[in-house]
Amino acid sequence: MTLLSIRNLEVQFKHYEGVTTALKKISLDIKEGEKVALVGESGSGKSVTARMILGLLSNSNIKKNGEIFFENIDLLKESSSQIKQIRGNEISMIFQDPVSSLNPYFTVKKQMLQALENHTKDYDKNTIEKYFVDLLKDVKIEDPERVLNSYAFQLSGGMAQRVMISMALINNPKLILADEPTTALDVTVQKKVLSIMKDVISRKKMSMLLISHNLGVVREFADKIYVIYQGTILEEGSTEKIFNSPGHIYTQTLLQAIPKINSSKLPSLDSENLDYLSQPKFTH
Amino acid sequence: MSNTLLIVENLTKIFKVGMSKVIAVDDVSFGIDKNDSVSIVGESGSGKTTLANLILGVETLTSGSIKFEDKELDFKNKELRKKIQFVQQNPLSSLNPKKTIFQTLELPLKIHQICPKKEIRDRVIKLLQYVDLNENYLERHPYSLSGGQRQRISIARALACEPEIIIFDEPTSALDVLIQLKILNLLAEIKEKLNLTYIFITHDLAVVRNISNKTIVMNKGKIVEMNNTKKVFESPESEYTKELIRSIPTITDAEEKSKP
Repeated sequence: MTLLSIRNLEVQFKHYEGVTTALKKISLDIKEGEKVALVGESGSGKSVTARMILGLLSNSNIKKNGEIFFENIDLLKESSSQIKQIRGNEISMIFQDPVSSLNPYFTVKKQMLQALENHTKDYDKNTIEKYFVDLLKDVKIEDPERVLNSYAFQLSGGMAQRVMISMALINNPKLILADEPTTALDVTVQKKVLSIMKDVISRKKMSMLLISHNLGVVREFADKIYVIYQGTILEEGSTEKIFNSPGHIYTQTLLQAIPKINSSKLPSLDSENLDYLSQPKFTH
Repeated sequence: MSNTLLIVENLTKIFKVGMSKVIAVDDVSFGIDKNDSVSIVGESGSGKTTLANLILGVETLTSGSIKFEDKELDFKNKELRKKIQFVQQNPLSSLNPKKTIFQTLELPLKIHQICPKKEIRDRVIKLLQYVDLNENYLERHPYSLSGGQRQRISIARALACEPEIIIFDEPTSALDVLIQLKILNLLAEIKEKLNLTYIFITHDLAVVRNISNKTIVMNKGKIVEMNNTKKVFESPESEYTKELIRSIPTITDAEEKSKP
């Protein structure tokens, strides 16, 4: 079953110098329980895609065309109050920098409570703390009681990101969008957070859209990959296909450009500065 | 004469935080030879940036010594100090937004009186050529440049004083992979051309493997492993290094197999 389906989405920003097309008719599907990655360089449109899904980009200077179906509702046609019901409830988001996405003035518990109360007032006050503790345990936090009563600055980066993950889980969403969730973390912590995310998502049967520029992270995490370049999806396919037999020259160049840990020489590229957009798109 | 350019001996830096003390760098000793490319790796909080700051003289040491060409590094000595230059992680915040590229690059030339006044312009253009830019960039401001171009300007600025050693703090972590590769290739080329010695502070181990001949692994202020890079990656001795290497996300099966 397809959970999220983006059809021919086009997004344009109007500004004083003219119009910038951020997304050029992209299409993307996420099935139930699937971990999909959107990979691209900075400015390729990956974050815009996530923000469009959440309805976080809407003002008169943004022109959008196409459809974003979430369980057969077109998110682009919904009113902002209906979007609010879906956002944080059925679709939630994990951001890049955990420490700055947590509110420095409130404890973790207060913020978790807020995330919950935005969508339901109908919960049992006596058991709610237990529910939060369980969520924190889900992301392998060993002393959930302490963390629950901590402020953001009292947590390490990896710990704060795990809190963000458990906050994204509060309302049992069907889809989680993660925008560079491990970029700010050390490699050992990154590895841990990735495996925790993977574990929690498959246990709770959720879907995830991972947005990243780090192909190594994507390879470890995703089932399916979309490669985006200047607002256009150039290649899509299973993780195995993308890494073992990349079809588009841009994907091949990206993979070549990454320094490898078993080589002592910087990689050399077969082709550089090509007009990647003129090459045919590749679907595995 | 020995080939060793920089000798760090029993270097310790203690920060006082309120009533407690934090030992950021704990009894660290190592030597760097001319033309070396040394990487100092470790996680955040391991003390690698403090170590770089100590070598640059931005931080005062608590005990131990740093010798450059057999002379104690004295940061009041301008002649000695200009020999060690620095390239920071984020080029946008390390370049002055109000200054043009020309003004940014002429400043170190003036401060250290590298060349006569009337030659400054030619000199700046030469610096830009080192980093594959040209005189069209002279009157531009940092905001009108891309991330890769800004980092090139930072490198050109570090080259202005004709240094012996350049310290890079995460020079490419803010860049996309294709740009990263270009900058790393450029650094290798400049090193060759100008006979430089590099120190990289980084947590990206795949980059370390590709650009340095020696690697120092730090954890909690101490050096846990120090060897030539090939050795460190192929047969790491400390548990911590193994753990670090195992954690690197890779993109090929061959890399995965090469992990300890």
